[in-house]
Amino acid sequence: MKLEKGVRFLLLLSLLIVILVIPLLPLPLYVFHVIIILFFNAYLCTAWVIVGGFAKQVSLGHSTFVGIGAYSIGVLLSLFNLTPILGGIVGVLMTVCVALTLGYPCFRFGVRGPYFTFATMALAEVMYYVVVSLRGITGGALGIFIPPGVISSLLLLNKKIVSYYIIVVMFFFALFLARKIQHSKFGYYLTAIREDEDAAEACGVDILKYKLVALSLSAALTALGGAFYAIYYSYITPDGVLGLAVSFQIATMSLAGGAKFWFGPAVGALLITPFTETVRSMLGGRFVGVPMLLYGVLLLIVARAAPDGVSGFISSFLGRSESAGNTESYERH
Amino acid sequence: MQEILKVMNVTKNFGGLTALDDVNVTLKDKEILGLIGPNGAGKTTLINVIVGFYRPEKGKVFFNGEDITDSPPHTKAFKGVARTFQLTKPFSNISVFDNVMIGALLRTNSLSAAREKTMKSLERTGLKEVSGVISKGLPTGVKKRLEIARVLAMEPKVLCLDEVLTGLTPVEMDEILDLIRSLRKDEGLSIMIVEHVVKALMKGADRIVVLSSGKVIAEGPPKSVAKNPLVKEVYLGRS
Repeated sequence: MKLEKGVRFLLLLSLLIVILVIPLLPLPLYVFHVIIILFFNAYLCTAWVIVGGFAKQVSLGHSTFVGIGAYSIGVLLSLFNLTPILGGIVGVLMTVCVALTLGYPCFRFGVRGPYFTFATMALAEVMYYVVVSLRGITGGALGIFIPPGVISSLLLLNKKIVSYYIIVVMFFFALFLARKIQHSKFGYYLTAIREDEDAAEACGVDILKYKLVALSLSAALTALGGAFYAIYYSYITPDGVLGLAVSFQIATMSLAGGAKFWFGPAVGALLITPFTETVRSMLGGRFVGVPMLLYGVLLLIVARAAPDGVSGFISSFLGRSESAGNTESYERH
Repeated sequence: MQEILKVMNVTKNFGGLTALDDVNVTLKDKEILGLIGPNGAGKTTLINVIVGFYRPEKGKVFFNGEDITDSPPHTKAFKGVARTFQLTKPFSNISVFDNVMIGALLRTNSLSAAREKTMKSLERTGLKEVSGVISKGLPTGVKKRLEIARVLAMEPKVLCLDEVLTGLTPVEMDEILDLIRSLRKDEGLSIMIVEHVVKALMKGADRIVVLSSGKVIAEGPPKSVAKNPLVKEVYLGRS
């Protein structure tokens, strides 16, 4: 099932045109918002999959990275009047430091599989409570508000439309990067780590190094996503960017979409975001636990029905043995 | 002949159990060395010490005169000391081709160069027909071949084969032994075969080392080892 080059090009071109034209359509504001969130989720999931899918180091701590990215902008702005662009850079650097601080001891001393996941969960929870309790700096549970003047000076024109184009570019960048990684030595080595760490080590894979690089890269991209969040919402709360619920959302979407594939998380985000946003708008502020419950049910279904996610399901349906992820290599033979 | 790998006075304990007790083994250049011994003799432990999965409490491992005792497995793999696993460890959910690719990428960053190496290695081991098969469902014999194919693609200098013959049919065994001999001849590899199928090694190995309860109890050409009363006692019991 390989499309011809010309057809593929036309399909991609028309997709690109649709994506570029969306903001110019007379869509209801809420629908436009959901589309932006869709790209935002797809971006975060694509960033997650580099470590959580390719290397199967399932992290539920990625909310920490979103949070640091978002809060660095808010905190540095409110305390030192630092422009969000510099705030974002500081956020990314800080996130990489946090990721290495968590990753090095875990990966160095063989904290594998579920135990690594527990460690990342702990990070997510600890960070949530730290931010809530540091009220003087972070605004506690109420969060930080970014004055509209700052944003409009940054984004000029219409905030929503500019935000849309920013997140679209960010998403395609992440997607391109994920694809590039999967079809490289780095990607093969992450696959080796995913499949069997001992065998990978015996094949000459420096698993500590590759895991740390994957985690840092994923964390840095995620922090950039957090920075986008801060600018788009101009209001950061602990519940919005921190804690397990945010982590679960990223992981669920990625796994449901297919975490072995560079395009899988985007598929997951595309399918699930409209659903969760609808539930959210229906419930309003009530029953805050419901989305978490739904993610849980969804994960159960995925684990039973399609362990490789929707993408795995589709590709096995099409008869392409793409379960490797990087298998493009052998298809050419 | 020059010594390429030297295990000197290695002792390895697991809690109160001494798995290796002051073991000395040398592997000469382009030699096929058989390492035999009953279950629990410490054969696999010795491989794990050589390739760096275990660190010995005492003793050293030298490769080409360089002390590599404390190097991690991936560093040793890069230097040229590679192994296969007794319980085969294929990367289960990917194709045979991609399995070998991961080995082939050790000495190159280019995927196309790695693909060429992979093809060569698959041809060599007779796995070309199954290159697209996901390795999870392969039969044991093919999985053992895959272990060899993957390790060959890494272009090692020393190859430690951990029970590659066990569980194979006699015909498969002969094929693998032929392959091993051709590797020595064509690639100039030095090979250490760990096995408890003694008969197979009597034909294939230049020299045999016998381990029992963590100690080397006999060493020499296959024929003299087979006649050694100590070896007979270990395998058959006292008469």
